[in-house]
Amino acid sequence: MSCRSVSHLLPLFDDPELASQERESVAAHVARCEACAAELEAIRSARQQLTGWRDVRVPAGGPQRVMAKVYAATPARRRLPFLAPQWAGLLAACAVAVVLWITWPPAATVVPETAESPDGTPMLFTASHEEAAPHALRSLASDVAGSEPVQVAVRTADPSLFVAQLVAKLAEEAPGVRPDVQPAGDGGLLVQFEKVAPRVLHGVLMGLNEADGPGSDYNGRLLALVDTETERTLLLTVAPHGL
Amino acid sequence: MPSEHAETIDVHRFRNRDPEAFEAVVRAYYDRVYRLALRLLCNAADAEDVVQEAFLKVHRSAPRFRGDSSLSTWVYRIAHNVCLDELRRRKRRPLLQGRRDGAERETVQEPEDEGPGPEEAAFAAEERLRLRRALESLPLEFRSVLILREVEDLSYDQIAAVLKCPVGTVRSRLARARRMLAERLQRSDDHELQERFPSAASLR
Repeated sequence: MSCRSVSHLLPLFDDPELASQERESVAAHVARCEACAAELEAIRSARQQLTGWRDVRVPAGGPQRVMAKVYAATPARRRLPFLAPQWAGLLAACAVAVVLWITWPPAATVVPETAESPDGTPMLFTASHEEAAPHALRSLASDVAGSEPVQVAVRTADPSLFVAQLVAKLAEEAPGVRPDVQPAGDGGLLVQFEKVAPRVLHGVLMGLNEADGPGSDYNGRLLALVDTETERTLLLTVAPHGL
Repeated sequence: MPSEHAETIDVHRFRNRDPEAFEAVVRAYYDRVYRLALRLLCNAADAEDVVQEAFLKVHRSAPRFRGDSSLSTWVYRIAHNVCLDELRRRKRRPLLQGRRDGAERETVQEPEDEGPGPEEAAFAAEERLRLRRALESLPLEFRSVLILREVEDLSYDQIAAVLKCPVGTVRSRLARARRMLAERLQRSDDHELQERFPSAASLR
């Protein structure tokens, strides 16, 4: 065989993919052709240098940075006075219901008492801080309060993104807490938490709430915390996205 | 080919963008995607950005993963495409890139840097630099196939799946790429001899 006829196979000589017949013909040629033998050596040396490139010092914390980037950069958390440590115990002692509502597309106006159930049907209502919660909010709160598992109804354009953010946030703030997420029709979700301290859940949801800003993919909004004993709203962020 | 982690990843959950399944994918492939990016781009700072972008794409495209190829091949393909985009972007901005490369080359650190004594280290660093220059002088498709084969240790079939081309193309491209790399490395050896000799003479 001539140099020319083996030239396309010579660089592949050491690959297991080469057919044995091809390998034999190259071996036979190289055994009697010094120039091709030298070329094979040069190729082997170059390949050896390249395999030395397999060792790489990977910067630490890479996967965490990826997860943080993928699950949307949450803006620096504003610590509301409400969340100050001295309030935390008191808050935890309250029977607090957390109602999270996500509207998509954003409603044009906030209509008081357009209320419904926690099963994925839209509901909007208004009240100020410390005001008696609207009836709809109270009835919803009574469904979700206490030491029973907390249910949160969610409606979102991108349920998987919401759940991803929620889980990422929980991992950060309440490791070990796993929400049970069920589809609730009409693109809604029913998210259920097993015995989470309201304070913890509040922290998690507030974190998500703060992610809800212009330019974010996230359209969630923590709507209200209702003290189910006094039926007063403790915190209300009523305006849906864009209002 | 990285398949050892694949069994532990629930592909169905990954496709539904389940965060735990996605995180398992990131953890399983991060190091290899980083290495691919670092070796293709020859720049640590860019590599990290590109890896993040690649995994963003992996996350976004997860529902479209059909399982025709293995998950690892699919992740490699996305990462490889993001690297090529970055390299093409560089080509379009040569001036800016020149400065950037100059400033950031120093940041590429190799594990061998710390091991041997100063002379060996200097020699190894010089050898790596020569290798990098030789690789960078190759057309992109040859550089890709070499990195995927020699560094990532993929089979012809796997490379074909990553590059979405026939196996025959991988074979011929790999043969040409290896020959070109060997030639350029030899040429740079000769060039170095010529350069060193006059400088040694001038010392006398």
